Amino acid sequence: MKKLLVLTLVVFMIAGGLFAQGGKEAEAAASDGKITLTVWQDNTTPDRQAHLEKTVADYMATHPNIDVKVTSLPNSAADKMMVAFAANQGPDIYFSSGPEVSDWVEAGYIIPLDEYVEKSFVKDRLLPQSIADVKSKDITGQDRIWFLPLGTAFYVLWVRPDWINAVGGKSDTWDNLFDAIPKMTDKSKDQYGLAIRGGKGSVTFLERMMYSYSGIDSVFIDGKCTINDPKNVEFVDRYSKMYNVYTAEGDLNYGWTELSAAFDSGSAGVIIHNLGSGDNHVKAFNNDLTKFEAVPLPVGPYTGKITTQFQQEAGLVISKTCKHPDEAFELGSYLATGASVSGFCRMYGLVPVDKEVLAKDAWLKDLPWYDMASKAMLSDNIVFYNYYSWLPGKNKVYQDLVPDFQQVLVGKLSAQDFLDDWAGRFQKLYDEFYATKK
Amino acid sequence: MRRKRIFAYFLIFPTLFFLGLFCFYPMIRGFLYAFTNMERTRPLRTAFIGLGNFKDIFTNDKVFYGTVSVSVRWVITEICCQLVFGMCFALILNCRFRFRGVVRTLCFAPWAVSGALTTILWFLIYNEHIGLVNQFLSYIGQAALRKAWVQNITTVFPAVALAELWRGIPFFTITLLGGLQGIPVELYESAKMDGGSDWTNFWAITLPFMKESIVFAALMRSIWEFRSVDLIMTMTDGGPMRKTLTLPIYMYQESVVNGRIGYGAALTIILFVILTVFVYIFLKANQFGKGVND
Amino acid sequence: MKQKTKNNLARFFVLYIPLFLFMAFIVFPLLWAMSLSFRDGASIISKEFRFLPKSFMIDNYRYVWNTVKLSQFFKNSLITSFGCVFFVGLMSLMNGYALSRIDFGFKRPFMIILLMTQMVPMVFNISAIFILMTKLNLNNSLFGIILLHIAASLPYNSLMMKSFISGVPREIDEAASLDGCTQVQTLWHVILPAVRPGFVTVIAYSFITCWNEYLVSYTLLTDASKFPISVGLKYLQGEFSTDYGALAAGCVIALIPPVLLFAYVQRHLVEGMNAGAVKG
Repeated sequence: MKKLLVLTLVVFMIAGGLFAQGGKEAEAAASDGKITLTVWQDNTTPDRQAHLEKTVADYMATHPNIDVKVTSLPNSAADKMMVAFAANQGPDIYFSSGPEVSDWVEAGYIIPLDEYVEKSFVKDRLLPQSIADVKSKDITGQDRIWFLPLGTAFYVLWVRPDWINAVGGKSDTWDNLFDAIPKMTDKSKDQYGLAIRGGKGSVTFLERMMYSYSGIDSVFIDGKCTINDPKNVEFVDRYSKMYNVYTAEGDLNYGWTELSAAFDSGSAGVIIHNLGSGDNHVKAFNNDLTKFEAVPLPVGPYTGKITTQFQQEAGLVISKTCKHPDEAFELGSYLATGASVSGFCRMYGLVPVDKEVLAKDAWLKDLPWYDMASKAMLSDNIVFYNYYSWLPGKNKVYQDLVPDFQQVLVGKLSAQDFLDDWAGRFQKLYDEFYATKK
Repeated sequence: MRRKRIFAYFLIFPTLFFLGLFCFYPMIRGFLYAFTNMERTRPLRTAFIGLGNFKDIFTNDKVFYGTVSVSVRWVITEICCQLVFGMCFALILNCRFRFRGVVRTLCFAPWAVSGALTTILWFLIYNEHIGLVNQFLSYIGQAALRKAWVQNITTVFPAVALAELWRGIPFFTITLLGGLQGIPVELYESAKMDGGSDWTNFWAITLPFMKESIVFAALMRSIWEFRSVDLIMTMTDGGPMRKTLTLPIYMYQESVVNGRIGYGAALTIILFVILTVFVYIFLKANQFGKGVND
Repeated sequence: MKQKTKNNLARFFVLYIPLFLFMAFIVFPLLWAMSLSFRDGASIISKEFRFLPKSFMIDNYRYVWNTVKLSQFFKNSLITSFGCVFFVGLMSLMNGYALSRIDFGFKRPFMIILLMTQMVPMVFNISAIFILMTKLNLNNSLFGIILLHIAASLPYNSLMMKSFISGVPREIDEAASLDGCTQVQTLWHVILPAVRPGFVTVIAYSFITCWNEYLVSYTLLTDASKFPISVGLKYLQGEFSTDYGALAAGCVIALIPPVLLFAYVQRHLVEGMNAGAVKG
């Protein structure tokens, strides 16, 4: 009995001792006149981490009074950020491929940056349409800048030019593509003209393709949702009818991993994604450019223009708990421009919005898909449709509709009913949002 | 006797402290959210709505009942298979044979393997185009049998169940093996002298002694399987068409992905209640708590 | 003579064939994982039906250990897992003994409490836990992670110990106290050796749970150098691509400590009780 008592006491003493250690680290900083800033980055891979660390090291060399602590997080860190911010333990700067800006603005976790931007070189460095886009996404309706954009995603179709040429087809318009796909399919060789993303993320991508076909320039026109416009229905109908006829059976629940496996292993002729997977395909096809190519979203039969999203989701935010916002912004503007953002975009598959980078950097011209993307984005023949990215609750609708889209693919639900349901849900979100704004 | 009782409280005190702080306190806080309409995307609109979430779940939610049914099917399939096969292999590993130690260690490995590896392994086995199964079928000339194992509506459930069995059977095997080792050898020896065969020995000696272990392992594993998320979610994300959408995955999608924390917490409470009822019935049916010292 | 061959034949069918099939089922994916770890990422995605790699390149291992800094994560995991196992082993033994051997008023509620904690995974309360850990100054500390793991593993292992200890006849306890042992001595010197197989299972189970735990560690730790290996492996699963070869190599490395631990302790899964304890 006594022995056990002693043992327990010892254990608790050790525990107590270690207890104290956890908190000590927090006090160690800021005692030697240096300013410490914490930077977090998400979706990190070893390459991305190395790049950020080098960038930060260069910055610290020219700013000796600033100590930057970098934490590179693997995977998407949305939940981690939410938990951290809720407990006021978030980083000073969050450098992310997709920060949940609207949520954080509403919850008051981040600070607005427009005053800083006005006084900084950033104002003239970024493309004007980029800044305008950021302002338009302000959920408080005040046209403020809540994040520094890092680049835009550009959605493309990755296609097999060798297959398309072999059947004498083209990928510039949807009609031509729908013609070519059946000819490219050879089930006995496990080759399918198209791979449909039917699983996670399917509906988000479907919307992009729909609008590129129909050419409609906004998800809401005059307060009414255009999702179930007859032109959109036509697309979903034509597209979904290809399932299991000119596509593999498995497409029903394909997420990105399966889709990329299908394309890279030579089973699929056409997939939709962004520029980020370029490196994958280079590796898979041994840089043989006759075997893979990125083309912009094809033109639909109605407007003759490329219709796509101007999607600036990668961004840099500064949190409210940051004790040195001025220095943080200076670091932030360094990270969001020049060599830093150039490397970031290259690895995250984004087209930079820094004018100097766009004009000068070699990789944008060397990699054919970036060259194509930057030319397309600056051309006259492109329309960016308003996809209401800031509307709260959209993500849930996309998530909930995935099984319904699967029903459309197997023919149990008509495209019309599916889109009517989708439009109804979006309309509800829209009405709710504007009702609370009054 | 009193001394003994005080000793007992002394023994369990550290555990109570730990659990109280790290389990119950967060759990209750989480449960409180169930009575609000808190959503991550609209945190300023949070309000107390009493039983509103529960009403929604039971009357408006088309998906909820389906998930319960999938979860129940999942647990029954997994536990039955894992228990039966686990028991067989525990018996086998209980015998003496060469390299028994090596075999046991290898048997432990699937259980020790991280979720990340399990997922990619089975992805690379089941994938329609590059997976081992389909490649093998083509190789032996049976290309017609190729299927999208994890996407086809009929094969998805068995395919994912098999992947989980790979991890689950070793767990049962090792746990039951531990129990088998506790059975006194003399019982078998005296039974042999009485002329009993292996088969009757199993039912007369082994099972009764193992009863508590089996009941316990089956119960705990059922609870674990009922709320397990990682394998199914990474393999199918609950699809296709919600065929593998279990209640915990639905909970995860609602609270974490969609940010409807209040709703998700209500689902958590329902999960908790279901499990409590199940445990109660299970224990009553097996008269848990009584030792086997005959 | 005939009986012996008959026995051998029976043994062959009843023992060796099922054993072989079982091992094939278990071991095949593992062997394949090892084969993947020696291959280059691009070849894994290709359609060639290949089981053995063309050549055994250990680049994946070198890459993962050095560049991805898996060595650091490995060390962190060892700290958290061994720390957790130590406390869980001790405390579950204490609880198991109390539940099995002593009749006290709080017994049933205690068992119910233990069961109840199992029904909601810690992940769903992660926000509340994070705030709690922050208040205790334990966020971003490995020690905090150890504490949470203990809380997570304790209920199951306590109940497991209870059923193992229940399998030890009470006569042993009585014999020991007749010999003049105190409660603690009985627990330590008599019961513990008797439930060695059970104790081994508890150690194995709690180690695995800690070693592979991902979500709580990921959310609570803000310093990347403190990540355990389960989180570290996620670096290899990029946004657009997964480096299958490197991931397989990393997982094989991650597999080594649990397997070694188990190889060491499994010899305690020995047959039969020490029958000599009761006689005489």
